Amino acid sequence: MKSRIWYLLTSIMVISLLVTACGAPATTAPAATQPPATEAPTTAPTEPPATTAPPIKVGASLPLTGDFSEPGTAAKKGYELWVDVINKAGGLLGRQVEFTVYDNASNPDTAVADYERLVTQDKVDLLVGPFSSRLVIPTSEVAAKYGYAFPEPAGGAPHVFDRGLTNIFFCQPAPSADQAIPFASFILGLPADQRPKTFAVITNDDPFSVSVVEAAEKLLTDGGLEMVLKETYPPDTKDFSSLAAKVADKNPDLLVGGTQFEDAVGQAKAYQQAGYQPRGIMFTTGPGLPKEFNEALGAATEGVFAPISWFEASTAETNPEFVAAYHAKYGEEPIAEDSANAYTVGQVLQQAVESTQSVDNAKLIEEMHKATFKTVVGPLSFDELGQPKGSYMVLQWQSGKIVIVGPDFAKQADPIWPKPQW
Amino acid sequence: MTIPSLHLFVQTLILGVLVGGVYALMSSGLTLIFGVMRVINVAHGAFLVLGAYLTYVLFQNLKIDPLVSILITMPLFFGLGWVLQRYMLSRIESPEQTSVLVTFALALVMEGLLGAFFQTTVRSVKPSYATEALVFLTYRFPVTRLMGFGVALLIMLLLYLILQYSQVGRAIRATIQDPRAAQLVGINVTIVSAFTFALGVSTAAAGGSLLSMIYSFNPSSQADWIARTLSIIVLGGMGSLPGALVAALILGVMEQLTAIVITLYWSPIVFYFFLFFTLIVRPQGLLGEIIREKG
Amino acid sequence: MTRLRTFAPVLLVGIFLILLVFPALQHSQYYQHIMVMTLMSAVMASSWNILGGYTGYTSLGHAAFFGLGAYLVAWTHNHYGWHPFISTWFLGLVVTAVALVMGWISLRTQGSAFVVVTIAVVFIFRLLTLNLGSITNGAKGMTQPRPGWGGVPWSPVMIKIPFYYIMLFLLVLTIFVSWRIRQSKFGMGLVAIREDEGKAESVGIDTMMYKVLAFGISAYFIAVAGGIYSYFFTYIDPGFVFDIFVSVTMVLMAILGGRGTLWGPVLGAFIMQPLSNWVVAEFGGTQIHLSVFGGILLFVMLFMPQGILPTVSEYVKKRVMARRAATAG
Repeated sequence: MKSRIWYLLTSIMVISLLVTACGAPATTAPAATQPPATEAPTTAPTEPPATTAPPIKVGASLPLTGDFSEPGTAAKKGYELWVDVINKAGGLLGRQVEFTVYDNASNPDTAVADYERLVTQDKVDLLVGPFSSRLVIPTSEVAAKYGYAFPEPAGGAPHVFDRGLTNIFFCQPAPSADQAIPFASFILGLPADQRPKTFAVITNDDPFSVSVVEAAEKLLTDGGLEMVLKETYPPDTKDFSSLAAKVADKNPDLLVGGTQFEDAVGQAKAYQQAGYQPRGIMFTTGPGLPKEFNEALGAATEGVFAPISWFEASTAETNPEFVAAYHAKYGEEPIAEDSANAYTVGQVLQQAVESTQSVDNAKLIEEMHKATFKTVVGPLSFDELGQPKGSYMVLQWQSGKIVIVGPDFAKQADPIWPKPQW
Repeated sequence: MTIPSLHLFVQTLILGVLVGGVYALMSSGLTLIFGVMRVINVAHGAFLVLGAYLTYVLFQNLKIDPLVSILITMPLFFGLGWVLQRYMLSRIESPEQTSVLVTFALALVMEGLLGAFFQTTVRSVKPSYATEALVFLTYRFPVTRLMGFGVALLIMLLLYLILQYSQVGRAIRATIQDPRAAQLVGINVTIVSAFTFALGVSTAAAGGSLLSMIYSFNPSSQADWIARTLSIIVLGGMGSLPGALVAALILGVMEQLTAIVITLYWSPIVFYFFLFFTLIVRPQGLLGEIIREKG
Repeated sequence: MTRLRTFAPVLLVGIFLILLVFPALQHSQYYQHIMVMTLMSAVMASSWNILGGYTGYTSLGHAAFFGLGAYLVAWTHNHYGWHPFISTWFLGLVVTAVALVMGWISLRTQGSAFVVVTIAVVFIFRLLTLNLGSITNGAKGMTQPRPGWGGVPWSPVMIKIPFYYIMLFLLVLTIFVSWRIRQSKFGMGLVAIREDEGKAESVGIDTMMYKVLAFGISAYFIAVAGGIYSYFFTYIDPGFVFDIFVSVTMVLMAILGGRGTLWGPVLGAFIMQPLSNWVVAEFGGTQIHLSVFGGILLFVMLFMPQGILPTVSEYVKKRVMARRAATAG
């Protein structure tokens, strides 16, 4: 009796083992690889041309759902637009670009598994990074393990650069630690009778948000402001009512919020409910998503500040073409910064490939450290750690629109101060 | 540690009580189900979130106010609960042992399906009064929470009245006290169980509606809610409605106070702490009967 | 019958030999990765089985030990340079000590209450890890240097192979210990507790001590696996390792294969892990894999609560009886 079970058990095990062992060995599938996301297909709409040159495969894993879904989806649009534009113009080195993107649901472990899969299963030639420092940190290790260049659109926190990796390139004008500089300068530059005296730092425990607001904290404190409250909350916090009550009780003049999109909205709503009327408020992420932020808060967006890396009306070389192509493909909606950042990544990758005339990642890494790139966020170059050397900007919501209010080289309008009541 | 000002302290108490009322409604179904069927319905959090999604859909597409949609979702969930109990849960032999695993499996199935339909993006229902608050003696009473509190108390009162004065309510209470004796006096325990489970799930619909406008949620929120409601019914005494109310108020206030005095990071510990230690030290909770469990 | 009786162990040895040379047969990193995870799941399910299967106490809290092992190994690696392949065996003992204490406290409850208490344990660990950020890095998680030896990272081509073999070794060890327990008086005492705890107590078995010991031993292998896992992935965060789902997976595999049997959990792991990988790969962002798991657990609990091995053995027994009855007389 027992032995029969042995027989059955072992044959099942053998079968599953054999399936695994002799299962499809890693082949380089000549057809376009279909990513597994069950939502609308995410391969770039390319038509294989009559040429016989094999396509160049580029891979990414993005947070299309979950905590970072809004900026993640915006980034995907940016990447796909870039692939579209480049393929229409004849491709990269004469070869069409084939883009594969997986949804990591804002989960670092899934993101890591995705990049492993892209390299070992899908055998992509090139990688581009995900959205947010939180996802960039672990996935860059995977890229480094296999020797891939890792240009990325949204990982600028200090911990991204202090791990001794040399393959990361943060494709925004400035690393997180410097992103608060323009805003802080504006605050400190206000005349003494208007300048806020107290401020609070309320931040999400995300490496990016924390680094930006702590830099702001230092600048403001050095400039003479008093910090009356500093609170950090877990990234998936949904209930801000008690936090808002605490803030309202201290009533700081200025609120510096380290946020992603959901919690920026959450904080704003909670402050309204708690009756807290700051004279100024800044969120690190959230206000930079023109459509979603407006939909979520309506008139309450008026006067909110945020640091920003790019704006639509910028006359930086290649930007007007980007804007036109974006609207042609996606319609008249306002463009999110994250789409522009993703597009920038594509531009950096493209120019590096074209300069070195190869897709050899070692050569690309070397080139990316040396060259200056022409991008929609302006001329971009990187230091030896992959940090960009440039300056950020500050936006403010005015009359339902995003307007750049500083620094002077990009200023579109004067800032409104103090913030009108919610 | 921050020592709050008096004003902040009272404001926090207010927030805690308001939210405690809603927590009580959310937990009432769970405690009833345990009382009658000795089943710990770990899927209760998933039902709450399902209720929230249903409210969301009704609000987005038909503009039905979340409080009004309770009138639609409660009967619907009653039916759902009935069917689930009669055709699935009643199949389980030795429910005391396996109910947790079975209902846990149910919760997983629901969470996966919700994720497939709605993705994991965070949602919330935003009626026009979502950011308003009534001000009384300089204290703020957020409208959504105030209304939630009111509706929660109303439904719990109705529940209490049903249990005390209706025939089926008496049957339920008798079954809670002693299932074998109840059967002996002619109570159809099968029907009572189905009815109770259905009732419990329908309160989750109401709880979910309130949830949707006070908090934001996504499929994985169900884990937070089951943790909270379990802690409440354990502290209150499993099977006791008044116990659930008392425990919910206590835990609601303590949760808010912890957020203020320490930080938001430590608020959830209030629930886990009471869950863990009540089961070890005083398993019958505050107002419950001693549950004779077979190992 | 006797032919099969000698045949089966031969088959088992054959499988083991295949497993031994598997990496040489299958060079794809992807499949090697799946096999490492499968072996790990088999370890975890078998380890859980020592408590959940033999004594019948369903713990949904063993993810806590997995996470604790992972964090201890990651932390000591980063701070003292201890190599996970060595440190995990010792740190597993630390986790066992913690488990003994936790067991002593939580085993005061029984039945559903016990399950709920173990759920609370996982939540508590996750919260503590999230909050004590100065030690654990909180939500940012802990990374380790790239897997290698003596400061030299292993080449990407063969990087999964050491993990494969250490997991295989761990699995053999776990099965061996589980088997020895089953043969021993201790094991029989555990089974007695499962059958009728009151009677076991009256016969003179110190049920509390037996249960606590089982709780502790069942934590060891899971903790060791957790330590290796943290190195395999090089990145861990509180939300992923202290996740009820990790516990549920172990439990599901053990129950599916045959709770309380020696090989049931291994069978369950070999079925579920590749299936799970496939579902996540195909439908990753949607969470539908939760429904698949839940659905299978539901099905097993409702229709096949003993699991595959005992159910199949029942069926076979009936067939043999029927055949005997038919051929007799």
